[in-house]
Amino acid sequence: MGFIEPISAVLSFFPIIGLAALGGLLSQKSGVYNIAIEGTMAFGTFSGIFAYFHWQSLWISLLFGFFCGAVFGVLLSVLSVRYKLNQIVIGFAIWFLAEGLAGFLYFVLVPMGFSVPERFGDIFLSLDPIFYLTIGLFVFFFIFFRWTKQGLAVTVAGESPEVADAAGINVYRIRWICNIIGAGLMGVAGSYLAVHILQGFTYKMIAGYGWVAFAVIMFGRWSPTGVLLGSIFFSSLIGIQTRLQVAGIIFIPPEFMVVLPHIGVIIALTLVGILGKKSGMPSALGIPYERE
Amino acid sequence: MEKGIVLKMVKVSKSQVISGLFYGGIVVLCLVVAIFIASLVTGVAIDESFGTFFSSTLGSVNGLLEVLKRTTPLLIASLGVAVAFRSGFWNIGAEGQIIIGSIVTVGICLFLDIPAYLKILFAFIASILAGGAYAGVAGFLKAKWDVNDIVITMMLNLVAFALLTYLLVGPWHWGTLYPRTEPIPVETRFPFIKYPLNSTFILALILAFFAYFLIKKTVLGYKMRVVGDNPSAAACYGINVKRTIMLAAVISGGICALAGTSLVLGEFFRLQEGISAMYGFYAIAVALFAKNKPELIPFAALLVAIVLVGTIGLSAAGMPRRFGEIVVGLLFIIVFLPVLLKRVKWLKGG
Repeated sequence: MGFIEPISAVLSFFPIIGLAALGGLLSQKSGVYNIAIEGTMAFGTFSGIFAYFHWQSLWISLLFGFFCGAVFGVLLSVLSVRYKLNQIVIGFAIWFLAEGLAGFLYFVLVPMGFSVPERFGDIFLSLDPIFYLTIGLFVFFFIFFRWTKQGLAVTVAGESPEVADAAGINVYRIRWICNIIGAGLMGVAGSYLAVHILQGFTYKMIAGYGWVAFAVIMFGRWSPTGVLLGSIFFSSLIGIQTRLQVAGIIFIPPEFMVVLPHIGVIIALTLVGILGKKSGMPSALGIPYERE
Repeated sequence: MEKGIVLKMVKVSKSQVISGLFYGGIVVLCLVVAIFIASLVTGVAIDESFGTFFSSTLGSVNGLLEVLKRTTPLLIASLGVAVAFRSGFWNIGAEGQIIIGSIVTVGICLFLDIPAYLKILFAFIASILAGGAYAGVAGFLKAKWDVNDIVITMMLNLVAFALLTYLLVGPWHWGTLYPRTEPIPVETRFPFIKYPLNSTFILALILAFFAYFLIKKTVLGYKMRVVGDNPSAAACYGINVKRTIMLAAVISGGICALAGTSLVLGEFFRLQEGISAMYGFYAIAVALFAKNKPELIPFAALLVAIVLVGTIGLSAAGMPRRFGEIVVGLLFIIVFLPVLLKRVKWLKGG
């Protein structure tokens, strides 16, 4: 079993990137950009720690993270679906708002330096339940988008909302639901990062993971399989980077090890851009739907 | 006097004045409500928090100078960001470009063996070129292969952060404790108008006129606006969309890097951890709040600077620093308030 440990350590960041990217994918599939992944995750980290402080349960932390993230999904839906404001600008607004609120509320509601004394236990191949839960969610969404009527409705709402509307699908309702569940998943990702990996809250602790997740959606060409592969790849880069630093194996200055995943994103997205003529981007992505 | 020129150039109409007053009123209201709620939540006495906010910003000479000091880099970076946004290039990498500009400036001031005035000249030129090239990478990728600009510029931010940290703890480290470099020679420093306000503030104002001129009065600016508004129409007019986007990215990066130059030559006189102080991210808020209009950006930058300085004052009174980010996030939404109100009414009226 000696070789499983390092592999599972490398994969330890997979649920974070995977859940966040899946949440973003869901929003984007229905035609709405959620670029506030970073902010929503930051709020998720606060809510995870807050919930653990009050109820001392890891699972409740994740659940609470989901609901807190979902609140920002509601905000996004109100402003960009209901009132049709520019999704990118609203995304920036929510990013600032959520990060600010997270830091502010942590300062007010949780005692300084509170740390979580436990983490999820390993259940199989020294990986924790959330890892398998994330894989399960990917499988679920793969089936959802490929074989279910509801999945098709989401895809059509993102591709051509007029057609969806003509077919009797409520585009607004679909976008609302997708935004809310998507933002909820981002909240869970943040919560998991806080309680399981960092076991505490520090400012700026998302450190660009949200943006990596955003990049993963493009890298995966808006398909659940692609996003799964992208999440595994980029979270491994993060994991390897952390692992090498901990082990003291350093072949470049440690300050540059940190940006290994980010340089990976730049290179990967460029390669995908050069190679990928057939982009899977939903056609109505970023365009508010105006009903005739 | 400068204000007079602005007014003559922009030709302010009555409705613009009214909407300006409307925005101003809403912003003040929002600030008051935010401070009120925040003091209730944190338990800071309400009159104390309002008093602190006012006295640390507009209520005292020192506060006012502090606000203008922070306006300087913020204004420069916002102009850069606005140039990019206007052309449809989402440059959220201003933070990274500021860092690149400050690194280049310090490098030249510390390690080149030339007269001081040449150092300053070279620092400006090299910062513009380096920042332009840094943003140009993202512009090139977007123009050539349609690689997402938001992601690339954000990733370049993180790379710039890493480069800064590396230099500060590694080869450029000076002294014992803090991650910072040696101070730059006295001759290369810009004089203070009145401490802490440095003469780089005038530079920022000049840049504001430059950006106004560029966007509103030049052919390139016209092309950039058309590309930003409607790329396919721009292509129909025979505008080279890809070239325009790349140029916009390079110009934007160059201007943002100058914010770093001004931070080094006019405020810190060295490179140190956290020199960019999130100005690059707040610049996004400023640009969007001013609707990317160069004539409005100085006012928006001033406003956000007031919020930032006031927040620092409040944090001394026991309120979390993150309060500023919440207010800036609210400012974003305020931009849309007229549209929002119109839509709400329209929906109710059927």
